[in-house]
Amino acid sequence: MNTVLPVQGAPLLRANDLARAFPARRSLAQLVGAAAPPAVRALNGVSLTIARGETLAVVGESGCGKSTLARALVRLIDLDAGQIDFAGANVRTLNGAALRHYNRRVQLVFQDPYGSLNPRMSVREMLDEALSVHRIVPRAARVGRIAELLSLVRLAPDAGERLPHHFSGGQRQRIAIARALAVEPDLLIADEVVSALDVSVQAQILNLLLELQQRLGLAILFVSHDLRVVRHLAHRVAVMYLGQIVETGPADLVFDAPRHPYTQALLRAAPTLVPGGRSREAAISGELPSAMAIPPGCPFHPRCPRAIDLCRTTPPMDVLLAQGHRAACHLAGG
Amino acid sequence: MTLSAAPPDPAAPLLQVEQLTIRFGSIPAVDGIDFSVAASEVLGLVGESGSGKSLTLRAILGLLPRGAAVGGRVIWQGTDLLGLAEPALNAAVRGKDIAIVFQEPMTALNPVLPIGLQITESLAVHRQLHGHSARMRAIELLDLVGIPDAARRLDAYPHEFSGGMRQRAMIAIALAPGPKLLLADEPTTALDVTIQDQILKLLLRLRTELAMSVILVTHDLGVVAETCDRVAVLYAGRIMETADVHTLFRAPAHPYTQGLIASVPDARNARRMLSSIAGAPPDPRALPPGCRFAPRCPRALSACDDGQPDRVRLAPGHSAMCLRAGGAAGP
Repeated sequence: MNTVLPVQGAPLLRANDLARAFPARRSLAQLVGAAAPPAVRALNGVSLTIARGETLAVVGESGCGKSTLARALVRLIDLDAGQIDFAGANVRTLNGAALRHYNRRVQLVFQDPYGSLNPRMSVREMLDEALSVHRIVPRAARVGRIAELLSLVRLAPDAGERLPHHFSGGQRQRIAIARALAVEPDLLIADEVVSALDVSVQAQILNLLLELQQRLGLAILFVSHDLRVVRHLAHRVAVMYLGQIVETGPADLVFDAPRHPYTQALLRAAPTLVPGGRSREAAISGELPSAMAIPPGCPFHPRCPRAIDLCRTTPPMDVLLAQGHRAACHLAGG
Repeated sequence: MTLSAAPPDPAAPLLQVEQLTIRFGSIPAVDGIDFSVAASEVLGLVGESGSGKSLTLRAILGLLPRGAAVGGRVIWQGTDLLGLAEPALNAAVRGKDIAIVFQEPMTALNPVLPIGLQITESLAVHRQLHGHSARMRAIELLDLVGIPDAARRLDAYPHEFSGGMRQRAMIAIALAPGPKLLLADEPTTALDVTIQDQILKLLLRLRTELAMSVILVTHDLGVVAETCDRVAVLYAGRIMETADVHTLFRAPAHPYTQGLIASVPDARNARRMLSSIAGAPPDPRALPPGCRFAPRCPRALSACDDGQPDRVRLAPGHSAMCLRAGGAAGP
């Protein structure tokens, strides 16, 4: 089995207790009443670690905070609180050359391959720009390096001269990945990178990510709402709900023996290729509460089929279930 | 003209589509497809983007964009809908016997009208229900699609609903005239997985309770497997394979279907290479001369480039458009 964690020892990146709230627009009544402005709590005490060569998948539904987390880790979004350590450096206080160095070593790839590439730059110009900004290779060696990158993501050698609109969605996502890899990052943060792609093309990109990780020893933070894709790629999984990680652990344990009722519901709701499977009971009732009004106690209790009185009043602590497997649920321990 | 002129035949399909073609100029977006839907059946049209699945669905109700040239026949209770003029189509089927729901409820709902009014409007047009009785029926419909506190929500506007509740509201509007066939165009694609689960279960419950047929257009094989009775697999404007859902997933006959199923990540091969389909779908302006899947097909023969392969009948209800299907299975 190749599901064993690839590397032991100190993590490459460690995030502790990250928090971020966004102010929401105040209604007229709130303006008149001078009430405190409502806030969307997108991240509410998120902690995680990623080791070299490892894929950590962050999975959750829309509004759970997973994309905010991805952007906060590369400092596209400021945090209200928390700490990020990367290879011994305190990321939140980096500036100048040290921040540029961090931005080179941690690269973000976005969901939309149409919106994240400059439509007026050829692929070669885009890759050349990445190489020159970060002074990765001498000018004379850039042509060779660009050819290498194109072959790494399995694009034709002549792809470099073309503009993004000549490419399909899957090819554009390869270009975005090539641009991220140009600067030789240690950590690739992939935010829903296959969500916009058709299934046959999605499989090609998933294969590419697996292959790149094996060849380059990349760490990958893979953010996705798609449980099938997550199961396919992840060594470890973190399940997010309303700005918190409710369960985390090795992929096998989280998928085969989920302990948080939300993880269990997500897995039951996910479509499988078993004909007739939809005839069972609904996995979960109700809808995601607003992130502006997160329920007290356990945030999942209004939808939880097993909630008890304690869940309505007291936020659950993380319960350690097995090596590296934790769930934030009052009932997970027993 | 009345639509109930033909004597009802219990064995006849509810809807029969024959040799449907949709062209935009010289581009054949849908190229001669056949399928039928039986009463109380859920038929899945599955395909990747550009396969023509949504166009096919819209063609049934004459909802294609201007500039689309349609050919073939869409037989509904003995009448070819493609031959009907707009007023006849409106009077006979649109939103009445055949209703449609779309992927994006926010763009399909009228943002400046309360949900209740959008339902009672349909009841007035199609059912001649007005005033209090229309309002009571609207509450029943919202209740039927699982909108809690229906009486109060009747006066709410679409923006006050979540995505899942909007899709429920859109289904309630579609159900108002009591359709016999519901066309659903990627109805859960924009929704979260737990909400998708609820909406698909709602569609299955309505099918049983109202004895309604459904044509479900989707790109998601998991949605197809769990929801549909029969499936047509579209690729580049043609139906590559048709089968009941159990046969399709147990013994797919067309290499495209096989490739699609193998492309779906599965727990058993976690962190191993998926057997993806190489390349990308063809440009509709430059379609391959023979089988449209041949350039990507791992089992293509030279004969596959010699024109459209015949449809091979493999079993009752199971057919594939492939030279390799049936007896000619090679290595």
